[in-house]
Amino acid sequence: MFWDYDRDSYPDMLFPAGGKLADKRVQGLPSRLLRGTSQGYRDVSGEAGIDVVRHYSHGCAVGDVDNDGFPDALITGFGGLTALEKPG
Amino acid sequence: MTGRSSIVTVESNLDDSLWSSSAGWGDLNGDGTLDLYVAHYVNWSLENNPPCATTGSRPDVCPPRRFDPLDDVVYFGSGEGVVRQPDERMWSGFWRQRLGVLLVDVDGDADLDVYVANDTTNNFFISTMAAEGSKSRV
Repeated sequence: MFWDYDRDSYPDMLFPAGGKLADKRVQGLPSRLLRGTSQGYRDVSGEAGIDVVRHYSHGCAVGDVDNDGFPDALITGFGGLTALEKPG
Repeated sequence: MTGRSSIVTVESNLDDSLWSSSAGWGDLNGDGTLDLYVAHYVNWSLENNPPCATTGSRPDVCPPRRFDPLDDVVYFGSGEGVVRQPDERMWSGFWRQRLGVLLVDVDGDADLDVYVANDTTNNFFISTMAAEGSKSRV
């Protein structure tokens, strides 16, 4: 998904990574967040905490849920939802 | 990490342990705040995983229709976040295996409608009439 979470006019990219069935468990894989900059894309998954697997991920949707003018994101999936927001 | 350039995963009140396939944001009730529609797939789990096989008798996951669909959930916005709708039955009963959802004014009546793409069954369209607080399905 393309969005501009920091509103710097460079599109950012969010990749829900899905998961797998292994060892009789549903295992998610770490999603990725790439921040667009004037020099290209930088992997900020760790900074955003999105590299921590919370669930098997499927889709994502963008909306400014806290009404602060910056778009937030929600990742759907098997067994949970993950919210991404700009820190207050 | 702080500042305009950061974004982080946050704890939220979105308590949903079901199989959510997709979601859409939009002002569904016309109150000026953002609402959230979460579409769910089926009630498959490792505990509910009956044996099925392909035509070649190779073990496989059962097809979607073998499982019960799950109700979708709508969270209504407060301007600072979203809260689950008290009466969830309002949006339940559209029994399908949902894959994707779009919130868009399909019928051109100046409010958001819900269009859901389903797996192996017909898609459906929920026409909302926010001013009257009601909806209908097509």
